[in-house]
Amino acid sequence: MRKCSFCIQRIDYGKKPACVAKCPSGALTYYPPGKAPKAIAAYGKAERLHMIYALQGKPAEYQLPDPVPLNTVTGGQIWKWLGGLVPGAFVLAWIWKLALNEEKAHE
Amino acid sequence: MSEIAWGMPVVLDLFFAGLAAGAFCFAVLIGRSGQESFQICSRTSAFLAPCAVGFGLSMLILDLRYKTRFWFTMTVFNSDSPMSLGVWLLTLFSFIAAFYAIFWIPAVVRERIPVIGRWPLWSQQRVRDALGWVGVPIALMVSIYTGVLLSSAAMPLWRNTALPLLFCFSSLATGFAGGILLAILFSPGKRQEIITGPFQWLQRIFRVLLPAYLIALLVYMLLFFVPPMRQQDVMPLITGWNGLIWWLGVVGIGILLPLLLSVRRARLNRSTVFTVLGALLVGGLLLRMVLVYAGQEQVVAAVYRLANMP
Repeated sequence: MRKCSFCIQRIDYGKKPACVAKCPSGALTYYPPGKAPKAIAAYGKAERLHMIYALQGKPAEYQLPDPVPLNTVTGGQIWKWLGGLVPGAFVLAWIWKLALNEEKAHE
Repeated sequence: MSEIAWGMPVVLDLFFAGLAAGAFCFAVLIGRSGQESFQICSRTSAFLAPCAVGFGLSMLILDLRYKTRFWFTMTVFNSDSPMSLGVWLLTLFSFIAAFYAIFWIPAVVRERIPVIGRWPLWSQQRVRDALGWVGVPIALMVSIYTGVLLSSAAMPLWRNTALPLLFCFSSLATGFAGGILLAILFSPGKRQEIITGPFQWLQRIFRVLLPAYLIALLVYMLLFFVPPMRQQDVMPLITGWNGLIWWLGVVGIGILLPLLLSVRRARLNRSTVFTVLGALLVGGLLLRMVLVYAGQEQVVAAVYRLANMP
């Protein structure tokens, strides 16, 4: 397994990384640290996506969801569990009562 | 996320895990009834549960890139990760469901199982019922986990607190329907008894369970109109072709049709029974299918626009 070194051997000579230089669709760009234009916002880091997209503008202009605070995704789990468990348990308890009644009626 | 990563295997896993959970609850709830027709339904439901959860798990393994590495998930337990929780819940549930099913095998057949077949344990009804009651909360959690799993992904359509509840009610409905459908199909001689006994009893449950399911579905949709959520996120689900499946398939066939046939006090013929049960199963599958695909399509479409921006 090899990890990306951003082609340090090329960057040292003032060249772009090989993937950027050879990219057929212009999807990849490389800016040296601290040299990226201010207008480009990184989208995807806070969203924990696999890729980080450089947007020129706000996410809403691309009809992307706005950055989500992580606690609404990973926190609040307990409410999801309780929201299912409590009504589910009530329904099962009611069905259990019906089953007991049915048994009594049969006897 | 530039393509549909979760396809049919995941849909089938969600469906069959829910079906198994519902069938298991059904088997335990009516298992103590002395009537023969109820016993038949309980037995087929008890058999259905481990088979369905086993099929669902094999679908999960099929979905993996490296299928032989599925047991890697069993080397960790991470309570923050719904996927890790789900793996452990499903494993626990499939063992309980399998053991519970062995209690229901007729003694003559059971004795032929090598090694464990002759244990005196299997003939004790008290142990069977105790195991059933241990299993019911776990089955309920399995049905809820399928919703928690989806709602923890960063997809606007899935990130909804009511999704676990929706999947829970849907699982119960499909599990009950699946269990009794198998009972009707596999015991031709007792068909009429099952229809007048457990099926009519089940109709009373559906008169409450299906409206509750409908309310959970409405809550799921209405939550998108509460400020932190955005109403345009639900539009891909309720409009267009997905909307057709959602309103006609999930709401119409999956809830309203069986509800109407359960409320109407008409003489039960065979086609009515099969319509109710079939509609519930089809509706449950369509619910998972449309949610899984619509949720991903929305993000894939956004990423596509992003890649083709001027």
